[in-house]
Amino acid sequence: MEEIVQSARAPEAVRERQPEVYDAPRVPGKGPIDWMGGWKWGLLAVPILLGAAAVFRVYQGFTALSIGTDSSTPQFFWYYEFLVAVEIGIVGLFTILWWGWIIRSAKRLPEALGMVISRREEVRRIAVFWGLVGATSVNLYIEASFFPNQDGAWHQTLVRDTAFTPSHDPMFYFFFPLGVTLAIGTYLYGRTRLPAVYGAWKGFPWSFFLLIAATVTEVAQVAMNEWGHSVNLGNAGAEEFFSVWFHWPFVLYGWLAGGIFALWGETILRLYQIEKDEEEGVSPVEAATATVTSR
Amino acid sequence: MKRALRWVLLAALAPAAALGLVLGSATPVFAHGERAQDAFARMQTVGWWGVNFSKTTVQQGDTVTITGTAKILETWPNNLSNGNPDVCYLTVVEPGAQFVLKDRVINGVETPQSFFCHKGGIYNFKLTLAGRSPGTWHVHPGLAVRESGTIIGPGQWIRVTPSPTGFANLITLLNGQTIDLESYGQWFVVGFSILTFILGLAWMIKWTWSKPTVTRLAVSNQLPLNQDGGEAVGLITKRDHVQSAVIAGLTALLLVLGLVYQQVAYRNTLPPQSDWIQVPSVAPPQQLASVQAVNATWDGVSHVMTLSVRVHNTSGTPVQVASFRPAYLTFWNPAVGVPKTGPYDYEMRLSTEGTVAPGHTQTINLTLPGTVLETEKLIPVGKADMAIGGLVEVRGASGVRNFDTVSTALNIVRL
Amino acid sequence: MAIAIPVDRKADELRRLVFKRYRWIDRKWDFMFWFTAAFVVAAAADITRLLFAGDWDFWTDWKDREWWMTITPFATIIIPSALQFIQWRAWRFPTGATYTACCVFVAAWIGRVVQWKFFVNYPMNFVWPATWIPAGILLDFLLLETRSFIVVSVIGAGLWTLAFWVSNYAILAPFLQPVHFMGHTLTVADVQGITYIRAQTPEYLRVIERDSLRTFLQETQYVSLAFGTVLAIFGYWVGQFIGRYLAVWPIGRFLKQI
Repeated sequence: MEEIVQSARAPEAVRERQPEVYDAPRVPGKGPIDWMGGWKWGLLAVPILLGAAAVFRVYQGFTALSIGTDSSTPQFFWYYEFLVAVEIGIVGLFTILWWGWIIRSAKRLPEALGMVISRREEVRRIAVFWGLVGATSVNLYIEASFFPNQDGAWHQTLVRDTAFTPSHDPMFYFFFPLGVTLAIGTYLYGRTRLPAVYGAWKGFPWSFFLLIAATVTEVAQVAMNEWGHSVNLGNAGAEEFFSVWFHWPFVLYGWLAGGIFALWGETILRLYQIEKDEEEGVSPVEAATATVTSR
Repeated sequence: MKRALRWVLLAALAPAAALGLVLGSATPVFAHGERAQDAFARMQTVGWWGVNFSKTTVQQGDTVTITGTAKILETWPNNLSNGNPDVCYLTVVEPGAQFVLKDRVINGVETPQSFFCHKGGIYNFKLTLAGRSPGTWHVHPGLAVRESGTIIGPGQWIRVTPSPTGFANLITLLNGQTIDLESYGQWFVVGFSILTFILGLAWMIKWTWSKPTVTRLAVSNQLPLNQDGGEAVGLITKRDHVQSAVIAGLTALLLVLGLVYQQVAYRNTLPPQSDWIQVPSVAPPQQLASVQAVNATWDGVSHVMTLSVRVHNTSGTPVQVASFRPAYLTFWNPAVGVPKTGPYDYEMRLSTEGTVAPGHTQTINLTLPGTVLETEKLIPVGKADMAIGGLVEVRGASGVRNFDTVSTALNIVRL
Repeated sequence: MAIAIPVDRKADELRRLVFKRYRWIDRKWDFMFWFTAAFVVAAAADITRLLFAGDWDFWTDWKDREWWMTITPFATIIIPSALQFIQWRAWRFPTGATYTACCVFVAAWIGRVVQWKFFVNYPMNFVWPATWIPAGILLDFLLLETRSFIVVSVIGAGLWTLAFWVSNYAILAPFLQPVHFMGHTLTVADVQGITYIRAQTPEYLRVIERDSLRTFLQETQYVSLAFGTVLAIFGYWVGQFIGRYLAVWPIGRFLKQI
C-alpha cells in the first residue's frame, strides 16, 4: 500500500480541512529502512566515535610515556592539561550546534506546519532514533570499557600526580561529557521527531530519565573519584587498588544506563502500532487523531 | 551523502594533521610524578643515599644494577600508614614494563616480595634489572610502604639497545623445564579462550540467525514470564532444545577436558605465594655526632632556604657536615667536594666550613638554592604542613658516615 | 509446569504472530539491535567486573584460592543476569548470559591488548582476562530448561561459579607451577609479578590468601567456591533488579513532573 501525499479537499459541503500527509522523498536505496537511508547515521556513528577514541589512543601512544609521567612540566601542561580545555571546547561546541539544530529545525518539521507524517516517514525517524541510541551505546563502551582498561593499566604502573593524567583526559573530559550530550540529544530528537512515543504532552520518559541520569552521575562521580584519590581517607586513596570502594559508584551509576533497553522496547511497540495501522488501512491522519485523543 | 562524507573526512583529517604537528614537538621528561607528592611526604618519609646505577646503556637482556640505601625516617608522618610503616616493597619506578627485575637483595638477603619494615629502618639494596624494550627510559628505585604509596628515589636515564636475538625472560621450573616468561602459556590462554568464544558464538548464532528478534516481543508480551508456549506457539521448539543441549554439552565437555588436562599436565601446583620476610637489621655505624634542626627559613624574594642545624660531636675526632639530603636530592658541602652535578646533586653554602671539634657543639646554617627546591616543589609554602626535613650527613676523619634525620617547621621570611 | 492454555485458538494466534511477515520490520532491525546493544552490554559488564573485581582479573598473580573465586563470580554474574531477564522477557531467547559473556570477551581482549600490552608493555600471558562464556552458556541452558529465574538464581549461581572456576583454572594452572626464584620457591605467576615491574602495584597490595590459623587445611578453595556461590546468588538478584526495574519497567512510563 503506497503512501499518497495529498491534501484532502473538502467539497462544497461543510467539512473540516484534513491536514496534509508528509512523506519523505523517495530516493532508491535511501528508504526508511535502507542502510544508506534511515540507518545511515546509526552506521556512521560507530566508526566516527571509535575513530575519535583511536585518535586519542594514538596521541597517548606517542606522548604519554615521554611527557605524561610528570605533571609539573610545561610540556605536560600543553599536551595534557590544555588538551582538557580543547576536549571540553569540542564537546561543548558540538553540544550547542547539535542540540541547537534539533530544537531549531523542529519548528520546520511537518508537524509544526500543521501536517501529519506518513508511516514511512515515522519508520525512518525511528531508524534514525535507533542510530542515535546506538551512538550513545558506543560512547558508553568507550567510556566504561575501552578507557577504564587503560586507566587501570596506567595507574597501576605509573605514579598518579594529577587529576589530568593521560588516561583520564579522553575518558573523563571527553567521552564522559559526550555521553551526556548524546543521551540528551537523543531525547531531544525523540521528543521532537517521535511525538507518538516521546511527545512532551506525555511527560518525561522514565527510560530517558535513567539513561541521562547515568551519564550525568558518571560525570559527577569523577569529582568523588579525584577526591578519594587525593584525600586518602582510611588509607584507601594512597594505593592503586582498582576495586577500591570510591570507584563503586561508577558501577552503580552505570547500571542506570539499563534504561537504554526501554528505548528499544518503546519504539518497537510503536513499530507494532504502525504495522497494525498499515494492515488495517488506517490513514496517517486517523492514526494521528487517535494518538491525540488518547492523551 | 557525498556532502556528509566530505564533512566526515574533514573531521577525521583535521585531528590527524593536528596530531602530526603536536607529536613532532614531543620531548621527553624524566620525572615520574614525584614532584606532585607533597613536600612533607617526600622529605619526612624516606631518605636516600649512595644510589648508584652501574650502567647507563645496556643491550636487551643485559643487566644493570641499582645499589643504594633507603632509610625510613624517624620523622615518618602520623597521617601516613597511621604513623606506623610496617610492610614495604622495594620497587623500580619506570614508564611501563621496559625492564625486568632479576634480583633484589636487601640488607644482604634475597627479597623476592614484600618485607617487614619499621620507622628508622635502614635498607641497603641491590636491584638487578635486565633491559627489555629498546628505548631510553628514566628509572628510579622506589620504596612502597603499605597504605602510603610509593616514595621515589633519585633516577637515571638508561638506554636499552636492541639485541639481534630479541628479548627472552627465561626461568627454570622446579621440574627442570626452562620457559620464557614473555610468552609461556600464551597460546593455550588465547586458544582456550577462543574456543570458548566459538562456543558462545555458536549459541548466539543458533538462536538469532534463523529466528527474528524484534518481532518476537509481540508474542512474548502475551505469555506469562515462566512460559514459552512450547511447540504449539513455536517460539522455542523441541529442535531448539536439542541443539542447545548439544552446545551446552560441548561446553561441559570442554570444561571437563580442561579440568582433566590441568590435573594431568599440571599436577603439582602451588597457590600464589605470600613470602614476606623480615630482613636483618643493619649494624649501625659508630655514632659520631647528634644533629638537630634548629630552624628553617624561606625567603621568597631572594629564593633562598636556610636550615640551621646544631651538631654535637660525641666522638673523639673532628667531624664534618658533608651533605644535606631532602627527599631524593643531595646538597653538598663544597669543602668535601661535589661528586657530580645535577639533576639530583647540588652545592650548598655553610656558615662555617662545617667542621666540629670533638666534644663541641656548633650551630651551622646551611643555605640551599631555592630555585632547585622550587623546581622540585619541595618548598612547602602554601601547603597544610610547612615542615622540611631530611638527612644530614656527617663524616668522621676515618671515613665513617652518619646520616641523621632532621625536621623542623619552615618559617617564611618573605613571600 | 505449564499452565494449560484453555483455547488452542490462542496458541494458533500466537504461532501466526511468531511467523508473521511485516511491512517495515525486517531483519535489519534485529541486526541493529544486537550490534548496537553489544556495546552498552560490554560496557556495563566490563565496568562492573573492572571496578568490583578488576585487580584479580588483570593479573595472574592475584588469582588465588581465597579471594578470586569469592569476589569474581558476584561481580561477573550481575549483568548477565540482567540481560537474561531482558532477553527472555522480550524475545523468549535464553541468550542473555552468553550474549553478555561474548560481548565482554571482545571488549576485555581489546582492552588488554590495546592498553595493557601496547600501552604499558605487559605480556599478554600476565594480563589475560578470564572467560565467562562457558558459565554463560550453562546459565542460559538452565534458563531454557527450567524457565524459572528462582531456580536459575540458586542452581545457576553455583553452576556459574563452578564453570567460571573450571574454565579459567585450566588456563591458570601452568602459571601455578613451582619455580625457584631469588632463592625462594614461588609460582610462575609470582615471578611474573616480580619481574614485570608494576611501580604502583606493590606486591603487598595483592588481596590474596595469606596463611592464618584458620585456612581449613587445603579446603580454602572449596570454602571460597561455596561462599562465592552464595554471593553470586545475591549478585544474580542484583542483576534481576537491573533488568526488571531499570530496563523493562520504564517502558511506556512517564514522569509527570521532574
